[in-house]
This record gives sequence, C-alpha cells and structure tokens, in this order.
Amino acid sequence: MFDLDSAVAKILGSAAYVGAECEAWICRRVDQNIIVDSTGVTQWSSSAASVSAVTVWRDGREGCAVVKGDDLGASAVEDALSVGAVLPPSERVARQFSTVRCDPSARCDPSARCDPSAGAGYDEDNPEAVLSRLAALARCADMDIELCASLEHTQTAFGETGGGYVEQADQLACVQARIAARGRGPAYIARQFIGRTLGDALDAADRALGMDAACRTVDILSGEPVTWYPPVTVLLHGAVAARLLALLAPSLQLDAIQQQRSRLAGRLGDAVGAEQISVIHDTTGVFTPIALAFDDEGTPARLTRLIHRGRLDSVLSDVRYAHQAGQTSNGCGWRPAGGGAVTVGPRALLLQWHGPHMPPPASSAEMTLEVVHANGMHISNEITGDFSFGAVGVIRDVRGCARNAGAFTVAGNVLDLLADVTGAVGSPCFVRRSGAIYGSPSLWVNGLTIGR
Amino acid sequence: MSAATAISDRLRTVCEEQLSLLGRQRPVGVVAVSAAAESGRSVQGRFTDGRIVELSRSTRRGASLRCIHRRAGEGADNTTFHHVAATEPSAGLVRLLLTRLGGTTSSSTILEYPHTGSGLVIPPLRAQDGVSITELAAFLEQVDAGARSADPAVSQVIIGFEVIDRIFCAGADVDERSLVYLTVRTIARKGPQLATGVYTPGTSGRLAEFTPFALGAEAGRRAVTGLGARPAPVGHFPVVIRGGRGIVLLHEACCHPLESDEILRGSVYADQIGRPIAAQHVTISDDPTVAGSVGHYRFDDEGQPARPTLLVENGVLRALLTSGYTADRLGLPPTANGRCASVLDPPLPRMSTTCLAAGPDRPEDILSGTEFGIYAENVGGGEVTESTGEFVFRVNNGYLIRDGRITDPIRDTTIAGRGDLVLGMIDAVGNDTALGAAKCGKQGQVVPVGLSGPTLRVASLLVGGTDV
Repeated sequence: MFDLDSAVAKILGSAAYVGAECEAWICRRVDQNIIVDSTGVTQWSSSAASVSAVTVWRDGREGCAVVKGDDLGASAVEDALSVGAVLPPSERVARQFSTVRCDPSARCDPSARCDPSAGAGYDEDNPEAVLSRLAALARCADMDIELCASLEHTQTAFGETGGGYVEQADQLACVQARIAARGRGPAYIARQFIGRTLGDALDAADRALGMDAACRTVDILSGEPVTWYPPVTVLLHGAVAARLLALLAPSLQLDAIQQQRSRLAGRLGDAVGAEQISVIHDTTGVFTPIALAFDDEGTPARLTRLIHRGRLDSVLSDVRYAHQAGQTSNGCGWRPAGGGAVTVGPRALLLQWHGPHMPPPASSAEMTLEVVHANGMHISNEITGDFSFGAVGVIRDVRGCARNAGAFTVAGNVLDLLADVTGAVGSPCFVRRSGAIYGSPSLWVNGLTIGR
Repeated sequence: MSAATAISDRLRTVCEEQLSLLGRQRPVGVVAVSAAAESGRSVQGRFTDGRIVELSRSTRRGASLRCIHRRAGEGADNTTFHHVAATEPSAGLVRLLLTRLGGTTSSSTILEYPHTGSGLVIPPLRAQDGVSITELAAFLEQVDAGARSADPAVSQVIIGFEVIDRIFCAGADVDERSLVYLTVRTIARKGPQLATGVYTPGTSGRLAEFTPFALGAEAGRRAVTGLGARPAPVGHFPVVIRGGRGIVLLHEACCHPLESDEILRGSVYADQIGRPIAAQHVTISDDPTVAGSVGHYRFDDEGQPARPTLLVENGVLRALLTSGYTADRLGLPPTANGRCASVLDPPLPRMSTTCLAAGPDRPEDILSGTEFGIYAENVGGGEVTESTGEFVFRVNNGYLIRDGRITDPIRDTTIAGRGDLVLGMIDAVGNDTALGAAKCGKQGQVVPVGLSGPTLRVASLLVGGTDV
C-alpha cells in the first residue's frame, strides 16, 4: 500500500539533506464517474492519482513544487528551491497544526470515512445496487434523464520539518441529473444531489424536492411560454441561489480584501445584508456534507460565521494572508485538486435564513416568478458583484397554477441582493462548483431586473 | 538521445504494454480499445501588487486505457465507454477494466501503491528545463507596467499565468504540446466608481510571442473604459460582436450543441445534418491545425490525425464533432475531436478552434449600418443548454451604437439567445479575421480552445442589462 507518512518523511528527509525546512502535502485521490441514461450505463471512468506539493524555505526564501505521480523526494525539493531562489524573500509562517495536533479520527465522522483498503473507492460495497438505483431514476416515462454519479475518495497527509503530521480520509458523492422533456417543447433543467456516499446522494434525489419535483418543473417548462408577465415576486430556487452564493464568495476572502478586489474591504462589523441572513463556512460536517479534519495547510476544520444576522463578522483566510493581517487562519487555505499553490477560498459555504420559511408574496394579487435554472452565472463579475445570467422559470398564480415563463435574463448585484432577500423556502439545496459546495434555501428577493 | 525522445519512446512502450496485456485476455464484447500516456511540466501562479505572490513548478504524468464495450444481447447502439487511468500505470488498470467488462478479476487487488516494479514507470519532464522563472517574472512586471500606464486610475493588476509543456502519446503517435495562457485582470477606481478589465491571451507557442507591455496596456484600457459606463439596456437589440474572442457566440450557440455526445442527449441540432441551420453567408468549421491557436494539436487525445471539419457550409449543417465512442454510436467517422484535460480524464467530443469564415463586409460598414444596438468589443465566457439551444455569453466591454457610431460604454452584461434562432439572424460577417483564446469547461474538464473569425452582427439578441 501507498504509505502516506513514509512518503511525507521521504520528502522532509530530502529537504533536510540540502539544509531546507519543508512542508509536504500529499493527496491520493480516486475518482469514479458513471453516466447512466434510459439505455443503461453509457460511460464508466475511474482514475487514481497521487499529487504532492512541497514547500521549502532556505536562506529566507520560499519555493513550491508540485508532483503528480509517485516520484517523490529530491527532484521535487530541487524544483521548489529553484522557484524560491528567484522570488523575493519570504518568511515562514508557523502553521497551527503543529501545536494543535488534531486527531483526524476524532474529528471526522467515523461512519462517513472510507476504508482506503477496500478497493480504493473504485467500487462501493454493492455497486450493483447503486447502478440499479441510478437506472431506476433514469427511467422516467415522460422525460429524457441522464444521471452522472461521481464519487471522490481522498487521503491527505500533511507534515513539516520538526515533526508535525496529520492525515485524513474524505469522500464526497454527487449525482447530477440532466432532465429534458421528451418529444415536446424544448425544456431542460439540471439538479445536483450531494452526499457523503452515493447512497446519500441518491437518497437526496428521492426526497420531496428531488427528482420528482424537478421532473414536474420540466413538464411545466415544456408548455407554451406566457407572452406577458404580470407584476411578480421573484423566488430563486435553491439551486440558483446557491450558485449566486458562489459569486459572493470571492468578496468574502481575505486576499481579495487585501488586494482591493472586494467591495467588502473595510466593512467588518457593518450591516451588509438582511437581518435574517447569515452566511457560514463549515467544513466540520455539521451543516454541510463536507467533514474534514483540516484544510490544505493543516489548520483544523471549523465552523466560521462570515455574515451573522446581516453583519459582516469575518472573512475566509489562510495562513499567509491571516499572518499579514495579524490574525490566525480560519482554515480556508486550499490547493486545487491537481495540486498547486495554496489559495484562499471556500470549501463549504451555506446561506442560512433565520426568519420563518414561508412563501410571502407581498400582495395576494401578485404572482410568483420562480427562477428554476440559470445559465452563465459563472461568467459574472466577481469583483464588482454585478451579475446577469440567462434563466428559465415558472410563473405561479395565487392558486398555485403554474405556467412556463420562458427564457429571460436576471440581472443585479450579489452584494446588494443580500439586503434584498425578504424570505426563504425549504431546506438548503447544495451545488458543487470548482471543488467547493454551496448551499442555500430558495430565496424571495426584490431588486432584480428581469429581461425578456 | 534527447530527454524528450527518451520519454516519447517510454510513453509508446507504456501504451503498447497496456494494450498487449489487455489483448491477451481476449475480453468479450469489446469493439475498440485505445491507450494514452503523457508526461508534462508546468509553471503556474499569480502576480499581484507588482510581484509574484504564488508560484509553483509542477510535473505530471499518467496513463489511461479505454475501450468501447458492447453489452451482449442488447441493441447495436447500446454500448458503454470505459476509461481507467492512473498517474502511475500498472497491470492493475487492465485488471480493473476486465472487472468492469464482466471478467472475474477481483477488484480488491486493483491499484496497489506504489506501482514500482511494473516496468511501466513514466519518467517526468525535468521541471527546471522549462520556462525561466527569472524571465517570467520580468515578463509579468512588464505586463503590470503596461496596465498601469493606461491610466493612473488603474489600481490593481492581477495576472494568473500558466506555461505548460506536455508530451502526449495516443497509441503510437507522440505529440509535443505547449501552452501559454494568461488571465490579466485589472481594476480601475475613480472615487466611488469601480471597474474591471479582463484580457486572456494565449498561444500554443512560447511566452516570447507576446509583447508584455502592450498586452498589459490593453488590459488596463479595458478597465479604465468601464469607469463611468452606464448600465446596459434590457431587451432585444442588434448586437455587433468583434471577431476573435467574440466567436464565443458560435462556440456556445452552435458548436457545443454539435458535439456528438450532446446530439446523443437530444441536442437542438439532432437530425439536422443537410438542413439549413444558419444564415446563408455563415460557414463554420472546427480546425485543430490553426497555427498558434491554443486549440492546436497534431492529433487528438485518441490518436486521430488533426484536420479541419466543416460544420456549417453556407448555412447548411454538414457534420458533427465526434470522439471515438460517439462516432461509433452514431455511425459517423471520427473527426479528431476526442479531447481530455489530462490523460486521467476520459476523452469527450470537444472543440479545438472554432472558425467563422470571413465575409465581405468591412467592420466599419457593419457598425455604420447599425442604427441602434450594442457593440461587444471584448467578450468573456459563456454557457449553453444544448437540449434547448439557450445560450449566454458575457460582454466585458460593450458600447451603445447610435446612428451607426460607437457611443457610451456600458457596464458588463450578459447576452442571451436561442442558438437555433440566432444563427439565422446573423446578417453581416466582416472581413477582419482575428484569433482569440479561451478555456472551456465540460463535465469538470477544462481545455483550451481557440476562437477565430471576423466581426459579425446578429439582428436581434436579448441584452440582459439593468437599465429598463
């Protein structure tokens, strides 16, 4: 078996040999993806990858190298030293894990951990049962459904010169459903169901707001679109609101604030949203499906209140930027899946609503425009917060009668939108984007411009 | 023997060994098998506040084994594409694949680490033989200086950079591939006003092909232009789109739905070959042979020799973009568009360089012939829903056109439409072909894609601004 602590020790030994202090991060990752449609399994792919990131300090300079493969040790240390030699001097900032000594087995939910010896996550205990459930979900008489089930299993180890060492295992599963109307007007939405195992994700798909609700929505979208909108109150489906939360995230990063890339710079303690809104970052597995022991710098996982009841409470930080600001990291230093330098960012962000969860059209005469699917949200402006995306939706009258609202655009500013949320509905809907997950209930909002 | 040649030979050996091992097992129902392996190095990082703040050297390698498997007793098109891959190749990949195909090999023995002793070790490219970091730092400083020279209002310059060298082997074919991709973001401030500029130059060549001060100045200009911009309007207007990166319109509206996996999913262009789908003066091809384009390759990631594919000829749909698997399912020839982000990922039908053939119109005539509308000077990314044809793309620098002249700048906005309708509304094609670079994400895989074409005008697109 691939012995993570020996691999870390080998790297640290190579660094010590050339008189360098060192941190070594090793991630062994096994990904499995199965795509299923009504005809059966159309694609089944698996990959196993080892990625190591080595950071060295010598003569007051810091350098980093990444190796994708099992070839560890001297060459990576040499590469890192060559990087450091041409960069400006940089001091080493102490990591928190070396004193905290977090115990991954105590911090992770033991029942959620993968057994790394059990086929390295390639096949769950009963793959036939998973395939059977996927096939059943994909066979809906009135819809074209394609399901992409992904399972990611990672083992991560982190060690440094001087003896600090932590190790953890993690697993995340996602079932992405692409649902289109069969043989009728063009209609499509996508939904993600996320869990610690594929069974969890499939359970989420089976719940009340899962696949059945999505299929009902597509059925409405396949109808003739309305040609005129009456005055409407806008409800952003949780999947859409969660993607807007992803657009907010860069403004909540300490590096962005220090580099003048965030409109929230200098606003700590200020009211930035509605009083009933909080935004938390949680990698402990309590409020989100992500349960880790530490981030990619060894900082213990925690729950961080970013916006608490409308006020900006804190921002996401890693060791480097926290040190520059005279703070300590709150555990948001992450490396990209393929390795690379640590950057500040979210891993599990959740928007919470503290008011009652209810549908609140302000006037009983108003109809509701429910934005059920968004297109192009990732291309919005993360610095100004301005967004404008393509969307499809459903118009509901006060009796609950629903019609296809057709295609339209939704424009606004995500920072302004925080103050314009007037209510929420349902439990959080989680979506995955760029290695992080974002969750939000469906949100009633004002102040958006609907274009059509 | 050079290091690159030695690595190329080893990659070929790895592919041959894997295929040989699989072939000896004579798996039942296998329609086609292929193998790929790669070794690469890169330098990537971020430059902010006038210095490099993140930098790392990387080496990468890996191998994969793929097959198309027809399940016994089922329909002719009822096949599964299998892909197994690892950073270190081993006999375990073959065992895993055989298990998937219904063999008896136990999965519990699969992928034991480390994979040493298998004789299949892929040597890495030496990272330190790659781009000089000293030269790279000097280059980035020039970009920064150029951006700040645009105007004192430019307050921040953030440059993401990656310089990649890969040796990629698909079967017996070996290709040396290079990529330089920069993401230059600029921020301009004037009082309470904040504006951003984005410029993403890329090449399949070398860093030295860029003029750093000039590209920085362009990125700075884009941010400064945004200061004082008025909100974009809302509604349907004529939109004139500058060529090069602006061809993202066709990338989204036309070519993603022509990727044959999307055809299998029920794209709006399914069953449309031979039928008109665009205005008569629209000819679109996908061409991986365009020199310098970030979408350039000699063969695709499944070993198909690169060649242009004529997709739309004078408005008529002529072909689709296929990978080996989708070509098999659809009974079409492979078009050298099987691409993957790395050898660890399964190849999918992807674009290389999307090319719109030049038309007869001068760009200034297209503008002067537009009474009122939007001029999209710099365009960002986009997205499409292939089954409905609904697409969007971002206008980062746009202007109002009034009486045939470019007037007020507008804040960045999204433009939306339905591809199957919009292609028929392209009413002018310019003669000023330019080349642009972008990155395209699909099923979690991001690959570089080229965009080549002239200025064009669409008679009506939905502009998603805020100025009602």
